[in-house]
Amino acid sequence: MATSTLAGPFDTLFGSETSLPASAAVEPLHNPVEYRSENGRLDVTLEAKVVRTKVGKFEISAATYNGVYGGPVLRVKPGDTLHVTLINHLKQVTNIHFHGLSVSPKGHGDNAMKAIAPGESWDYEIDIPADHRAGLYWYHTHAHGFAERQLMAGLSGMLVIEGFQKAEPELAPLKERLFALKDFQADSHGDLYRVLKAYHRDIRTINGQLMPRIDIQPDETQLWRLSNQTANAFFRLSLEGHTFRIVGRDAAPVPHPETVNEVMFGPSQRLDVLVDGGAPGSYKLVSERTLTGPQGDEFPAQNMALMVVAPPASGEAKAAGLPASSQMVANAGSDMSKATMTGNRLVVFSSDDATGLFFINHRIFDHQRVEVKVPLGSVEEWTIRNSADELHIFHIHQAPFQVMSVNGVAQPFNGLVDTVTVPIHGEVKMRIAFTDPKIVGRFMFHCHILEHEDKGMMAQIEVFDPKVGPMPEGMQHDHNMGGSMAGAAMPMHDAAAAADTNVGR
Amino acid sequence: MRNSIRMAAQACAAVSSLSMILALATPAAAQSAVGDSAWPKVGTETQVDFEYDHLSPKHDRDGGALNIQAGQQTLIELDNRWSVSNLLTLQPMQSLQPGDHRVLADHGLFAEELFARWNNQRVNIKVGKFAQNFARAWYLTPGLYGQDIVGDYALGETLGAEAQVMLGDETFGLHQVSASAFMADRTILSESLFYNRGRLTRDAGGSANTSGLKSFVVSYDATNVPVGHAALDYQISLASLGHGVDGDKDERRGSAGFNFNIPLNGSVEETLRGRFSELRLLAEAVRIDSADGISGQRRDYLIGAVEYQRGQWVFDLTASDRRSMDPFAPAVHDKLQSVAIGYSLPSDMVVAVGLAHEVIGGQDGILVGLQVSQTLTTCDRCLIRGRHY
Ligand SMILES: [Cu+2]
Repeated sequence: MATSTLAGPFDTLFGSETSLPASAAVEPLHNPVEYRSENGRLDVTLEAKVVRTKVGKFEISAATYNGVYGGPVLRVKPGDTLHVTLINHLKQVTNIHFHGLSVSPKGHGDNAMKAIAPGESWDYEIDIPADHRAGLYWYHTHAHGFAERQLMAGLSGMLVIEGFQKAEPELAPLKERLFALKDFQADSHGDLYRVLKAYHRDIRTINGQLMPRIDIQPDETQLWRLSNQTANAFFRLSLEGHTFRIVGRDAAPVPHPETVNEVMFGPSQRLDVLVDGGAPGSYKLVSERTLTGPQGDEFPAQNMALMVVAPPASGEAKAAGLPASSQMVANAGSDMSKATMTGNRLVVFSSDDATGLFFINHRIFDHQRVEVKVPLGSVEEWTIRNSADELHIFHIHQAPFQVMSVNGVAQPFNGLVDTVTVPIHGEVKMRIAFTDPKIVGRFMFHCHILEHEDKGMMAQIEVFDPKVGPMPEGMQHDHNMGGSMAGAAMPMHDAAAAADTNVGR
Repeated sequence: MRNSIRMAAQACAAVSSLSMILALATPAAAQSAVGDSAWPKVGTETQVDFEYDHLSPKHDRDGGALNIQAGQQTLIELDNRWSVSNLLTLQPMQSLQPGDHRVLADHGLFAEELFARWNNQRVNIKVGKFAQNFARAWYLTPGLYGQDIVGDYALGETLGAEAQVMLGDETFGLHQVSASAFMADRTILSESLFYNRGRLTRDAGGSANTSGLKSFVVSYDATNVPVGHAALDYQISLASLGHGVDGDKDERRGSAGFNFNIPLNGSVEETLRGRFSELRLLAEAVRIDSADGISGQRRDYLIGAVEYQRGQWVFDLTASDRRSMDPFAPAVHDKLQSVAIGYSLPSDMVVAVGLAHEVIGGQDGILVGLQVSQTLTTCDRCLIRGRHY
């Protein structure tokens, strides 16, 4: 025990890397298990269960959906019904949030307030509107107080709403690769650490693989769909000798694609990027060292994968390249910069060293309290202020938004997003339309660094029908269905939760 | 908490061996696999500093000391509202004097803080032993020696109760008013283990060393007031300290100060690349009338500090000034200027060097020091995180 706990500090004391060399990249990058909708429906059962999982040379106490670390991929089309039966085999409450979807937050919909008790199951029935934006989404545990460790243990996966490539005809022929990017910190027994530290050795994986090989042809362009499914970590990815062309952010195609040397994206964010093969050879995909500020976290660099560029073997089809004159077609949601605002709000992220709590407007999350009540039909401008010495990343369920300015610098319209990182002591202004009747109900906004969310940095919003008015205080829209986080049946910190708080056991 | 540990850190000095630090790291690392999500939650944090200080007065003998300064913080959260907090401190009980040559000498372990706390995020009540919310430079000033003079006016080692209330919303920052009543700690907590400093008695006299809660502090704190895209904190506080058996008049104090954090290179991208940089300006003035409960004794303090932080590096400059006016003695003007450079390693270790020039009681001296500080924690976020020297 003593040697194992010391191995981390020795390895990383002076920032030494713990990543694998290029020679370790033997296994090709696998696509995760997929469940596809048929005849307008996807019926799938997801069992949240503790499993010992091999990740490269490590064996960890993971908690996964159906045994897949990195998560099964759910593929649906606009207009489909997604029916997920979640069975909770954990010793804690859990649930599922469908991140980025503009669907109902009520009842059996995308109801992240609902906690599923140990041994119980729950049916999510999500009607995906026929006009829903196609793109890369994801689903994950949202059990307040347990979200960080459950997500790190594995409880997440990608959710693809088909049609992103169709909206952008140039993308259609390209090979699509999905990257579920996760991280964990475990001791020598494979038990996950509670307190994340740079010296615990943060291990980052792609689809549950360590240092896979990614094959591409010299003239080929591939669409890489990157999904940050870590609890707390930011990615800064670089690819030796190559650039990335960003064509999608969160789920939306970007109207003005950008070519960059490194891509940066935080917890819960997604990026669609184009990668050209180029000169034959081997190139490392590196997750560069990141810091989140003087009071924040540090993550060391790690080699993530090896891209191998080689001509097609004889008989193999020539892969598609991107036409030189490609013009991205915008399907990014409507620009709200000219819209009339019906209200303004301030959301302040702060924390208190003495209590270890994280706040929104100086309050911790309370399932009984609704911080913001908005009548349906509102279009509001929100100011998100970061009053802390570390980065925070704002996310709101159900309603994508437009970033208007960052620290007073106006941002051109570049598609709607569902997350934005707020600079230290800075402000982001954004506009949100609460005009879709499907999102009426109560849902959350929070920091997507789940350590912060678990420690209080989350609040509720209610979008109400102005003809009916908001729900009475303390009432839940699913209160008569039992097992609500607010209900007596399964409060968040009950005896069952106290009995075993380690998801990995 | 971070404050008292930090403050204590300045008092001493350090060189360390890697093996010693890692040996100390073992218990905390092993504990981190223990659950923390159901109530009660228990978090601990340990900060250990090794520091070597060398003092060279111009017309006197040199002195040097190798010291350990350690703080052990325990936070027990009973639920979202109630918590108990304890800070144990190990430090040398004598300050460095010309001619001293000490290695790990006179170290005492004592309970610097032990209090219960109730809070609902708008109201915060503390009862027990804690440092009073009077002035802030005594714990906020950076550097190895930055707090040496202003450390005088810290109101620590006191028993009492404090209520702090948040005013309005956060549109213009967090605004809080606090009030406390207290007295000097004469319980067993005023003693120390190993080197025992002895229990404080009423006969020892001194301000706030009274028979009941006859000392009071009232403070106004503004935190994270947005000024452009920078954050301004300021505080105004007033205190009245009941005089002890050796005094004739209650001590009166006032303080005003600010701390201004100005991100220079603060975009999200630059922060992630490790190139975040920030300038911090700090200034504070404190006036004490009837110092130590003696009428006619006055102390005036003034401090200014500039800190520049970039990535893992911190540079700082401080200048502080103390004027002592006594009715039957000539006025004394003490000065201290210091500079320090620190670097944080991913292991939560900070290595820092410092240099100071001081004029104390008319005698010039140069102080040089090296400090190695390691923090170990089993809480997600309690107490000391980030830089701490
Ligand atoms: Cu956060």
